[in-house]
Amino acid sequence: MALSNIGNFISQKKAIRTLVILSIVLVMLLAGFTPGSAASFPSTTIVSVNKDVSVTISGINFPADQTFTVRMGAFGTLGVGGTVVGTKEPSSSTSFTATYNIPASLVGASKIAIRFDSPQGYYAYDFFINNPSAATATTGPTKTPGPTKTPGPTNTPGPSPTPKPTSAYKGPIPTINIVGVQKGTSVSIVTKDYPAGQTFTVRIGEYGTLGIGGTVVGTLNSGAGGAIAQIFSIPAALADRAKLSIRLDSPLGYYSYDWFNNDASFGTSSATATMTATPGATPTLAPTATPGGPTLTPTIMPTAGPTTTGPVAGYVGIPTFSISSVVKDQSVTISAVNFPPGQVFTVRMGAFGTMGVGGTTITTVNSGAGGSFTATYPIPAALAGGSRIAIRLETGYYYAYNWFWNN
Amino acid sequence: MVTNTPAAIDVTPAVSDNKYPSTPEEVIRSFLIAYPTDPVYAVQYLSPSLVSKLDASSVSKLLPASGEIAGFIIEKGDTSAESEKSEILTNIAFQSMSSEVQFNLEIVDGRWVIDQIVTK
Repeated sequence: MALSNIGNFISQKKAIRTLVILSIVLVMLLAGFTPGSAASFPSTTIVSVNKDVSVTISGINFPADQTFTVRMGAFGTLGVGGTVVGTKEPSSSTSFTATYNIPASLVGASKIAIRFDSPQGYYAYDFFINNPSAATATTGPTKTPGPTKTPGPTNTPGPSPTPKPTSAYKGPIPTINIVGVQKGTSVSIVTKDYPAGQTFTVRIGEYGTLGIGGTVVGTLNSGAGGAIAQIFSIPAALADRAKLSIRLDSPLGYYSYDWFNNDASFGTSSATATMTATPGATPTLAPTATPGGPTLTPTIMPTAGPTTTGPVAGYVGIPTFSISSVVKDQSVTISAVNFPPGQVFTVRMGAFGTMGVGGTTITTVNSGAGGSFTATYPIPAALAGGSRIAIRLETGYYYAYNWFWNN
Repeated sequence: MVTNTPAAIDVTPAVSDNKYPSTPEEVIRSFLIAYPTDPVYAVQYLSPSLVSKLDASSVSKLLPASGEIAGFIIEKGDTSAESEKSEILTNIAFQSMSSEVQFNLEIVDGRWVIDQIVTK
């Protein structure tokens, strides 16, 4: 038999073996197989739920002489690392019924995980729907017998729990985009599909950590939800890192993380936030905006405005910028020319027609050596949904403004 | 958005013993550690709907390359317990190539399981 045929034969045998084993696993999955002797495992049943207040749970097969720590956490965490809500003390019986208060951090969650752990290695976990009417349902996802274990060296590759019909789509996953970075100073993000009314803790940490355990740099209140733009300072201790992680967590189990290069060239757009000073750039006046125009239209920028700081010696002309691109409700990228050197411009956005005067402060940008640059700025949540938005860069002496179609 | 070559490689097992991982990231780690050498064992991290679509051929082609995984890093993730879905972007280094792979997970009976694997 040729070597290749032997190889094919072996390959076919492996494939058949894999298929057979896979079939067995599938059968076990479909049959709701549970490894070991279920009778000796502690297991729980949700008895009732007082929404946002407490849950009553009963357990069987709990070792009578052991103390269990009871935790609640976001759905999907199996209760691992959750908030301690009480203990289940030793008793003369292996069965019990007890009520535990829902911690404040989980108030409002639609589903909550609950977990029992003993120092001897016994554990059980379950989840409940934080809604009294659903707690006693006999069908659906109301209650899942928590996979449990007995202590011991056996390492059983536990098949997944009994499959159930594919759940209906439950909405989009909230995400974040990094839209701008000021090296060692700040990072700008824009959220998408964020849930309403939640406070996210924002952390920045070393690259590769997913932001876990990073320095808390602020919070993000999701307000009405959706797209929210916010800027966070980079911790001084991490200011010199080449890459960093950023993470947003809410108590109800939402989280997002990403990473970014800690330099001004990093962002969503290929030309995002790149400060490429061109001292010799010639001022260019772009055509006047045409209201109602269907596309991004570069517009003319005015000359210096009200003085709070003086003019820059040797600088001539006027700063202008055009709109390069827009991501609806998320960000706008501008291309600026002939900006004076060494000036800190405040970037604002406001309603169309306001010229950005008094608009929401987005960030500040230092013009460095002056000249040309491109940058991307997040569109604030308050302006999301608007068809046209004004954007303004101003120092108090110099200013430029423009507007763009938010699409 | 993420285009850089990962500088760090993470091959640390996230779980031990027979405890099922409690986060989407731990599920991914456990899956990537188990899958190259024992795809049948790794099936426990897949959703029933994904498993039902597999056969002897496709079960060995869940990742863009076969063989040992030299390392991987989790680059980006978005998770919603309320919507019971998670998307985790990884960069996996195989012996002769590296590839970005997105894992879409969902919660089935309280556990995070992989429902889709997409090579970017």
